Amino acid sequence: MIAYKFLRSGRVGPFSAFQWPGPGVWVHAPLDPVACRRGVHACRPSDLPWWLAEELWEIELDGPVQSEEHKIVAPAGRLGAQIEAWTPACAQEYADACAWRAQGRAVEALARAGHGYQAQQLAACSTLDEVLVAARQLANDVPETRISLTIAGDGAVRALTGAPPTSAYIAAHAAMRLDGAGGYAAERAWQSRWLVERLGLHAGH
Amino acid sequence: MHNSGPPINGHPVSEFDLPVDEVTCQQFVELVTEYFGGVLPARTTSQIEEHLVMCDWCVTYVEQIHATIASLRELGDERPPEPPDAVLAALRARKAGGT
Repeated sequence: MIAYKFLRSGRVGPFSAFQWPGPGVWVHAPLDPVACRRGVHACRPSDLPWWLAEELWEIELDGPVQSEEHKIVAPAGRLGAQIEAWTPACAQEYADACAWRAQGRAVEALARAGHGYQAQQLAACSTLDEVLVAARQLANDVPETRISLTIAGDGAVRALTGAPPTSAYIAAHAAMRLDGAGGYAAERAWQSRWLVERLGLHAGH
Repeated sequence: MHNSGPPINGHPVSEFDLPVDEVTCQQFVELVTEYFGGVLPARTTSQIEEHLVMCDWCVTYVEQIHATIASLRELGDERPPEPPDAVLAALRARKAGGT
């Protein structure tokens, strides 16, 4: 099975600190895999938004693959090709896209609450700096949508300060604020699709 | 586990009443010893690690813990000096006096 794996710079596991060998070298867990304890952990495309890190690799898994909520675990794996399209610039592009999604949710919150003029004001922002200023101002002016506006402002801050995972998290929570757990799941699915399409990944893995 | 992540613009996210399963910053701090000990259930461990991917506040907290552990290791087995007799006597007298 081919899956994906985020690693820190230099092929280092983000939590295990395991130094992965170069592509093609099999790594075997010493015992049967147990999620979050031992084994080769990897992502399906739908899992990617939860595990962003500096490097993204294809990984071939061998043996029985366990499916967990946001990950899969196998007894063995070997790195394939590094996804070269996942660069700091691409990560920033993703963070920006997520921040704009949070802004869109705040616009929708204002519109749903009957504040059409303020919704237009926020929708008219052309930069994330403008979103930040407008969202914070409107959060004071329109208390009933304060939380959605605060979330949008914070999403802009996080994108502007280069924190893609946080920006994505905030966008998911902006969606949840409007549409509950279903909105959260839909936003995470959108994030996964963004990564799959932008990085040219195989969606069916 | 339920609710929230790092504070949003100074507001505790618990205020926002969120319906998804996530570890909060406060929960992370409470669970950090068990997390490092590897004794948490897999699901909780996964939620903590998901939190660490996106919460730089808690990543900083982990870095501080690692720095503290490293500093303590550098001290080795060196024991702190015993307090002077005069200090011990004063403490005993204070305790005896009930103040």
